Amino acid sequence: MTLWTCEQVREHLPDALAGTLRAEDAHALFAHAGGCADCRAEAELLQALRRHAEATPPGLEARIVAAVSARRVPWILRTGRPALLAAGLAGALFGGAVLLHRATSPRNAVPDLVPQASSPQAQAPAPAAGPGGITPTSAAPDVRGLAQPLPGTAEAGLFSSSGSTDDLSEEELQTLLKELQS
Amino acid sequence: MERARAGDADARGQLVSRYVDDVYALAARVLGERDLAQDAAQDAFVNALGALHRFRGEASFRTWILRIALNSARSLARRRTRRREVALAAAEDVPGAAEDPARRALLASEGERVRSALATLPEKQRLSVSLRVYEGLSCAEIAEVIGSTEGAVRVNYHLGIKRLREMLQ
Repeated sequence: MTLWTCEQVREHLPDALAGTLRAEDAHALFAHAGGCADCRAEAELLQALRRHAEATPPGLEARIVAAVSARRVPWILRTGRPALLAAGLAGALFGGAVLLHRATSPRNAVPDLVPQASSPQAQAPAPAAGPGGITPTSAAPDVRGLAQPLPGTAEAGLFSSSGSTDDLSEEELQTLLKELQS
Repeated sequence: MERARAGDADARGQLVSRYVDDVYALAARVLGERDLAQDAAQDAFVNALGALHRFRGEASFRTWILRIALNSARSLARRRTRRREVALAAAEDVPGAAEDPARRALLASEGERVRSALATLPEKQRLSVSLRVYEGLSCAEIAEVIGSTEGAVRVNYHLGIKRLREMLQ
């Protein structure tokens, strides 16, 4: 049997008392401690410490499980699909950029649904014209509203289905952004 | 782990069940108060399970969550207002001593002495001793949890044991 030094014994006492040492090592350790007053005193101290370990209060586990369950996992993290994550965030950023562009673009930047500048109708000044020479008629959509979504564009409904970024809070979007940037 | 990461409630519950004792015990030793320790343990699990996607498996999950628990406990300790501490041993139930009042009293007295002595150690010595003796972590694992080096942990452990022996002899 290998003889252990005091230093080796003190190094491995916690493992021996926890029962995680190999049987032959534990045997050698306790054989040494049996004949060494100093090591035996340390073993007794560790045993006293272990007798008075903190006991987990009853009900704590259930309380923690309830708290953890109450915290919602963002849907995109539940799916665990990085491509969806990237697509969702890219879509949100695109949609935000479009809205920002529309909010800041000049009013005479008219879309195709109103008469073009080359047509005689658009060129003739009209008393009721709005800014930029645009004359709204009953046949053409009113484009003077800056935030009016146009059919077929991103903000008209691309993200309106269930599972879209509409379901995510600002905090969750920020989290997704950090994930993409990491 | 993958199921827990995806939000599976059962998987998360299993993680809580497996590590709640270690997490609570560490928080209790840092804070010295049962109620606060429970709050810290809850915070630790909520934070850890909310950030599971950041756990890359470089360290063991146990050392990872114990590190989070230590941060939660320290955070609560900083926010704690000056108030009378409730002794952790106030409601101690010593196993196996119920039928023998004398033994129970002896063990309760020993428990009080042990806890008081442990509480007087500097934090790194207290943590090194506790995590080594109670949780059975290696010095390398303790170093990961408390943000130290293996060598420093070993030194703090032995210094802590030496002081405890002097106080409890």
